[in-house]
Amino acid sequence: MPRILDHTLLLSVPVIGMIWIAAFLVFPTWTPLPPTLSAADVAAFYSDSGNATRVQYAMIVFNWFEIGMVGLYAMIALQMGRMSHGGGPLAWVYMAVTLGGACMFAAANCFWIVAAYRPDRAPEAIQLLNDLGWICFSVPTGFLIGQAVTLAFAVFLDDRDGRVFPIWVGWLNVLAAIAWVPAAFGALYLTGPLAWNGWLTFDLRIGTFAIYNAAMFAAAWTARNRLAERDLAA
Amino acid sequence: MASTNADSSLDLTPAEIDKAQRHDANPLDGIWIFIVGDLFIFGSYFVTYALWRNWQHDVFLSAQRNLNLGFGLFNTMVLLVSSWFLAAALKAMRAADWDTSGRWTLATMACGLVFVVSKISEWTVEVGHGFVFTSNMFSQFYFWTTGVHLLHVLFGLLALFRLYLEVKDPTCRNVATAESAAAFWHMVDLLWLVIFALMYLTR
Amino acid sequence: MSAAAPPIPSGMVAKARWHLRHNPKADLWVAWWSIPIAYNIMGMVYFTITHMMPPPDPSKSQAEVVEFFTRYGFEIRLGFGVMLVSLAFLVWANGLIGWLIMKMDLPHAKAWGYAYMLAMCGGGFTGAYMSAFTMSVASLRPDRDPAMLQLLYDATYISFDGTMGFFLFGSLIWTYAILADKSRLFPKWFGYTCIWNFTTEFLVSPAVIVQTGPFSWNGTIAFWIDTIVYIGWQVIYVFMLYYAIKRVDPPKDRFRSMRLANLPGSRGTSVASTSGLSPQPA
Repeated sequence: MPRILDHTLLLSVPVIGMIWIAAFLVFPTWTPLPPTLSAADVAAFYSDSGNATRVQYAMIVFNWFEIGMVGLYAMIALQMGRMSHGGGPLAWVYMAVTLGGACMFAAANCFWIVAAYRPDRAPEAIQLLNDLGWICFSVPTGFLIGQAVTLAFAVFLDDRDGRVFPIWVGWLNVLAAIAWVPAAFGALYLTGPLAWNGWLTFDLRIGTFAIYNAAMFAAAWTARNRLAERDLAA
Repeated sequence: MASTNADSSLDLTPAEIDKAQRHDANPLDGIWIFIVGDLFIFGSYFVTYALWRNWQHDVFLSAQRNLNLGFGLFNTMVLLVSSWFLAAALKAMRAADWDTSGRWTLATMACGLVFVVSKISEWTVEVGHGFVFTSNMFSQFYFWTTGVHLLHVLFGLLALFRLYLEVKDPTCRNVATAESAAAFWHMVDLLWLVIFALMYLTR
Repeated sequence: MSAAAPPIPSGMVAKARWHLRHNPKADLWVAWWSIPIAYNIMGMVYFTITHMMPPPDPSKSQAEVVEFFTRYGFEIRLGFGVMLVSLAFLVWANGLIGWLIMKMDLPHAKAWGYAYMLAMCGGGFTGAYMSAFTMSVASLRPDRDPAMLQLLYDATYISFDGTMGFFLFGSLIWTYAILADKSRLFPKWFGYTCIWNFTTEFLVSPAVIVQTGPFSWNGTIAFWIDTIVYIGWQVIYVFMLYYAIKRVDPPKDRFRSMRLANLPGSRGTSVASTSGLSPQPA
């Protein structure tokens, strides 16, 4: 088997990342629908056949690949099992929390699909589905925070003499967790930076998520390669 | 601790001695805390029932006529007999007569199963007459309380089954389990007596 | 704890640092602390910030539902924000208990532990999160059609009560494991009291049928007695976990020798020898 295929699990991560970005670009607006839109405006957005089609196609792709980062997170959990507290519950907690994030995204995904599915529904109902979609998408950053804090904690607990992940991974996770905190309050206001289209709730959260996944990919790749070298040497 | 045990003639590691001591150390390490708590919880249900009965006296009185006193009496008798069988099983067990004990345990379980079948038939008859959970406040209390009690009977049957397995297997015969299971079963019996008095008899 | 560990220093911060560095159960203790903290945050959110508990009347008229969301709208959204930040830490509690089940002396202990973790996480994700979303969305626009607000109001409380199966199975698994465990990691009487915890899940079921009386979601039996039993049991459980962590053997560091082997040769071996642990074959 070609050597590169040893890395299939991790190599799937950038591929799925590209697909996510592509689906994001297909979605009719690159910034969220403003929360201040009236019910009639929201209904009009979904009644526009061009918008509805793009929402549907983007959501189908997101639906296919919503759990796509699972390869990265499972690999990280495996590395956590090799840390000095790897025999404890932390690696499992990490996996469970990542699953929670994917479930919440799946719920949001379904609400958007339902909103676009029958656009001749009462505008109030479409607005409700749209609200549910954006809230489910924006607010449950608790899972991401839990994920980052769990990993950071495991990294800080790790044996100083033979770290699995370098210490910067721990600090990166702490920073990411802090950056995701404001988004949990994304339901507080309809306008301003905390609204679901505000910079704290949307831009900071999505940007951190992108950087976090890229950096964790690099970290997991290096840790994985170090172990592969050790296996070769043994 | 390791040093004091080092010259002991018992060939046990400190961990094993610790484990053995833990096993016997706590006299509360049986079912009694559970039984006391459960009686309190049921007591609070009965108080709630009594309050609502006071508030809706007429509704409760007329709804009570839907209950079949024959079924109630039969169920009471079945549970009383089962408790008597279980007492016989325990007596045989203390005399180390394991075969007799096993037979009495089976007889107890048979009574429990008869109770379950009888209770479900009673519900079926009542539902057939249009007396259902949402009919009125009395029916809510009735179906709910007897349902929770039936759940206890099912747990009791599981405990008795476990007891039967232990009695049959010479390697794990244990009077402590038997006493816990019996205490639970008698509590289930006692609760039924209260439920019978409150729901079927009090007019 | 390795032989090379220095003595425990005095002073809170230094002590905490020492434990994080040298206590082999540091992860278990932090997970244990997360339980009282996270439950207190949840209690504060539900009871004081959002006014979601004690539950309001299920038979409220549409106008009263609108009034409820108008009056408490901001608090509801603020409270659920706090909860969403902290709720994932309850997964630490599930992980801790599941891990302790794996350490018990019963057949297929690992499978029982995984089963517990899966069931409890499923319940937490659906029960707490769905009600947080429906509640937040309802209070976001109290000027919505009142019928829709009522729909969200019902959905909140019914999804909150309606995850009976997950918690039922989770605590059933835990109960069985405690009672079957030959090593008695948890005392047996505690195993019996766990029966209350999963029976409360049965007992709450009428709340999804009736709208008034003691069995509705704000009723004496379905809410008050259930909650009092649950909170009382919760207090016992935190103490029982404390003693179980004290008793359990610390997590094994299976990969220690492997990690040290990753380092440049001489340093790795010297660390292994000074720490008093002989490298195990990988």
